[in-house]
Amino acid sequence: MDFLLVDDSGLALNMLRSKIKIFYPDASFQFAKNGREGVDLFSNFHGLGKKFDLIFLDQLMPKMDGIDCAKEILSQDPSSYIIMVTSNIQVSMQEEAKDTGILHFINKPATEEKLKVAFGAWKSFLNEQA
Amino acid sequence: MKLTDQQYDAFKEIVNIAVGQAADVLSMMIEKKINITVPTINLLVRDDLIALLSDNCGSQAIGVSIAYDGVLAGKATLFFSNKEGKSLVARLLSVHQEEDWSQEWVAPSLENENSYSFSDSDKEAISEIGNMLINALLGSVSNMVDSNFTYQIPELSENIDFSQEFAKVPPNKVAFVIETNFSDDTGDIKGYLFMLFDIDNHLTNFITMLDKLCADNS
Repeated sequence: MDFLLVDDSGLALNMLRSKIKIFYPDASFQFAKNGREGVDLFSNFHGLGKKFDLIFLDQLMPKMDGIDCAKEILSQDPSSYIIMVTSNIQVSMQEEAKDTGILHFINKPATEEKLKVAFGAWKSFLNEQA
Repeated sequence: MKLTDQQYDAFKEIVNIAVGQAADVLSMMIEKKINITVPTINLLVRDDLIALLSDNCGSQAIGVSIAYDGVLAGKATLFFSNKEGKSLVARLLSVHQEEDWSQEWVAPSLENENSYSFSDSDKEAISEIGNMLINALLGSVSNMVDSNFTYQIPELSENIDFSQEFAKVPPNKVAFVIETNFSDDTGDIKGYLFMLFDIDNHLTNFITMLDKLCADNS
């Protein structure tokens, strides 16, 4: 399993990684600290013929925010499954994320319970696509 | 400016719910129960604001601010005294420690209370806590009044001297100040959350927003 985590906070990245490891102990992670770095990591990985299983994006980040990052990633691979993990709990934000093609939304902090729901939704999505 | 009783009541309710959301987020982060004081709402001029902040945070503090714009505009800030900021970082480290994370993060020393230096990872942690709490506060307000805020990237300030911080603000400028104190049961972790509304250009919007909320819920 390959995960791309994009957040400008080291604390948030590490909290998220530790919670994901509860469900996927053998997962591999790549980290980016802004949307631009996230797109670069995605493109490089894609260029190697690989695909991230899941992409977690923060929303408010320097250089490039999560929405623009998602747009660029989805333009390269529309089948990417993106989960937004953000402190921004505004309903309007969730609607914008959904309109962009982000398939799940988690309010920070990403707890074990919230990730369980997110992984369940992701598995359902994969089953529907199969 | 004076609010009617109904408008003030609506404003208080918005603030109570928003502060509750922020406390819930902090409680999840540090895995401890958080006690909050009932938020107070005041109209203050500059010197009163400086006195209020200095009383709550001492002469030096660390703070995270997010500027916001929308139906209201201003700045929301989370302050900790330096000592309490260090306690918070230590608690976060103990809760979220992971092997690879602890190698990157040098825990702050609490032995010397006069040593108020924060490492880069300490500052990142405090910024993220500020980001989460302020977003919970503002996001909750936004959702209740059905209006969107735009945010700036959080800014961290160290060794804040409040007199200097507000030196450029005109002495007679009035701002709405919402303040609440929160702490864990031991009192080791305490903070001070306040939201400053610049009402000069947003008074009409603000009153309209409160009236709409009252009408929607009458």
